[in-house]
Formats: sequence, C-alpha cells, structure tokens
Amino acid sequence: MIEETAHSAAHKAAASHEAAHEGLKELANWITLVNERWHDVPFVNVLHQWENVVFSLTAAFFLIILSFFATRKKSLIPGPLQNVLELAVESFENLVTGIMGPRGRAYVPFIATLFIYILTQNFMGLVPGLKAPTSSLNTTVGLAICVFFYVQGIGIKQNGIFGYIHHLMGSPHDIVGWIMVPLNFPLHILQELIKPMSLSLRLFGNILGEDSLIAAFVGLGILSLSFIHSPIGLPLQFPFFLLSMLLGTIQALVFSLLSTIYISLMLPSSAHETA
Amino acid sequence: MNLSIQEILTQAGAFILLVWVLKRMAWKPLLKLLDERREKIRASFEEIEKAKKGVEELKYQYDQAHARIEEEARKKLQQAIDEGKQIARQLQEDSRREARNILQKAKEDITLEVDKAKVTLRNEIADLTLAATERLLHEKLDVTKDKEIVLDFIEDLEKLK
Repeated sequence: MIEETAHSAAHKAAASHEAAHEGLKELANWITLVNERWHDVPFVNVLHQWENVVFSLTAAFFLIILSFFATRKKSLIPGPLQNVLELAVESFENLVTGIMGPRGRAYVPFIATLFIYILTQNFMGLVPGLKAPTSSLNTTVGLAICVFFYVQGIGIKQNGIFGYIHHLMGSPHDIVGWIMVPLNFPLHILQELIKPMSLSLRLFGNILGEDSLIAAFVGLGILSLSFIHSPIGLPLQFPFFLLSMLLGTIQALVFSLLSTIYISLMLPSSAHETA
Repeated sequence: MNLSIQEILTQAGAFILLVWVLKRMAWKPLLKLLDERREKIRASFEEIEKAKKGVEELKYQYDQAHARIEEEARKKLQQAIDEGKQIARQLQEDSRREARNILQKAKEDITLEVDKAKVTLRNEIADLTLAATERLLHEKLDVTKDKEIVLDFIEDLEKLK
C-alpha cells in the first residue's frame, strides 16, 4: 500500500507534460492532475490544452483583486497594501522617467503592468499545484507581441508616419546616410522584429530552465527516499526555489527594462535627449 | 516548440485587458494620488515657509515696537529727571531767596534794635549823669537845660570816637 502511494506520489510529482518542451519536464499542476484522472472528459482536455492561458488569467485575476483591495479605500495616509502598491508605482515611475525623462510617465502603467504580470507568472511556478505560464513560449510571445505593437504604435504616434519611416531608414541626415538607406532600412526592420523574439525567448528559456531544474530536484528528492518507501521526498529543490525567486524577479525586470528602452529608442530624439 | 497562434493571441489579449483594467483601477488613481500627495507636501512646505516668514516679520515688528517703547521710556525717564532737576533747582533758588530775605530782615531788625538800644542807652546815660551831677553839686538845676548840656556832651563824646 505504502509502496503504491509512494510510487503514485513520485509519479504525480514528476508527472510532466512534454508539450512543446522537447523532453524537458515540469512539476505537475492541478490541471495535469485533473487531466490524468479524467482525461476522457472534453472540458478537462480543453482545460489541459489551454492550461497556460488558465494560469495567465489566474495571475491577471489575482492582480486585479490585489489592486482592487489596495485602491479600494485610497487615502493620503496609505494602509499597508496601498503603501506597497504605491511603492511599486513610485519605483516604476522613477525607473521609467529616469530612462525616458518626464515624458516617460505616460508609459508607466504599461511597463508596471508588464513587470508585475511577468513577476506573478514567474512566481506561480513556485506554488504547488500551479504553473509558471511564462515557461510556455506562447505566453512570452504573446507578451512580446504586445510590446512590439505598443512600441511601433508609439513610434508612429510620436514621430508621425513619415518620421517613423525616416526612423526605420536610420534617420539619414547627409548623402552618406541616404546612400546607406537600402542597407539600413531592412536592417532596422529586422532589428524591430528580432526585439520581441529576443524578449520572448529569453524569458521563456530562463523560466522553463528554472522550472525544469526544480522538477528534476523534486524527482531526485523522491527517489532518494524511495528505498524506505517514504510518501514524501527530501526537499532538495528548496535552494532552487530561492534561486528561482531571484531569477524570476531579474527576468521580469529585464523584460520590462528592455521594453522601456525600446520605447525610449522609438521616441523622437529630443524626447530621450532630455532624459 | 509547439507555437499556437490562438494561444498567443489569447495571451496577448489577456495582457492588453489586464493593462486596461489595472490602468483604470490602479496605476492612474495611484499616480494621481502620488501627485496629490506631492502637491500637498509642497504646499505644506510653502505654508511652513510662509508661516516662518510671518513669524520673522512679527518678530521684526515686535523688536521694532520694543525698541520704540524702550526709547520712549528712556525719553520719559530723562524728561522726568530733567523736570526733577528743574524743580530741585527752583526749590533751591526759592530757599536761597527766602533765606536771603530772612537774613536781610534779621539784619534790619538788629539795626533797628541797636538804634533803639543806643537811644535808650544815651537817655539812660544822660539820666544817670544828671543824677550823678545833682548829687555832686547838691543842688537842683534846670532839668531841661541840664539834659541838653549832657546830650551835647555825649554827642561830643561820639564825635571824639
């Protein structure tokens, strides 16, 4: 009986879905467990197929509820929750205006949402039964596409359509600059397309790597005590939780900081010269 | 890598929705609140500066008034001293004048008394001399004539003096 339970726990804990991860294993979450139990139920299949979206929406709802409670009773003398959120807002305001100058204030909501959304998603991988949606390329590509269109939209809005094209041509000012346009123009377009790719692949790779590492050490912890048929394993993954928290924060910061820089680069030169 | 366009678009849509909701619910109100607080703190500092200036102004006015009052008090004191000195001088002069008058009157009285005494003494000397002469001559002479002779004698004596 005990052997069976241990085997089941090990199986469940290491139960991994290889979808899109080319053999890299992640910890089981509640959807994979439900899917294993009721895999013939169509709704469960849909849920399993869309699990990253489900967890992303969970993160989004969590943030909405948090911000609702934090801003429900706004006052000039803030409560603890409002204080934390104000600290975050002020930090982001300082960060963004530090890079872009006072005009950057308009982009604080986008950048701050990006950061806390990615951070929450990254940390979800540390909560038992949940999964970090950012370990899926679909999630990170979705976010990077948002950043891409946002940056291009700002470029068109701030520079005008001709200014935007001029920017893509490398902002030529002299004859040499205009001669280089046939080379610069495709390079700039390529550069703009590569930016979201690099953003999404960096985040996806890091978070998937962390989650896989944790899953591997959970499996190792269970295996290390399997000879005494223990229902639980050694918490060998604990140090990697701390590492994952650190790297998750860094990755969220890198994603938002690079997005800020991309926005800054797209603004008319006078705007980021004043920064 | 199993990319799903549907999932990517759903994720992007969810994020855009989240940005919209948080912008309305959290970021804008909080940024506004931070601005309000900054403005309030700035206004408070300005108010404090204004109050400090007001206090300094009041202190300056108080110092001025204090100096003015001290000056007035000093002037009044000086005036009182001067008046006192004047009164004292006046009293002194009055006293001196009165003393001089008393002295003058005393001198006049003395002179008068001396004159009276002189007359009385001369009469008495004349009487005594007559009496003495009568006794010496054992006879009664004419009183009026005798007295004239004696008085002439005394005047001669005074002249001799």
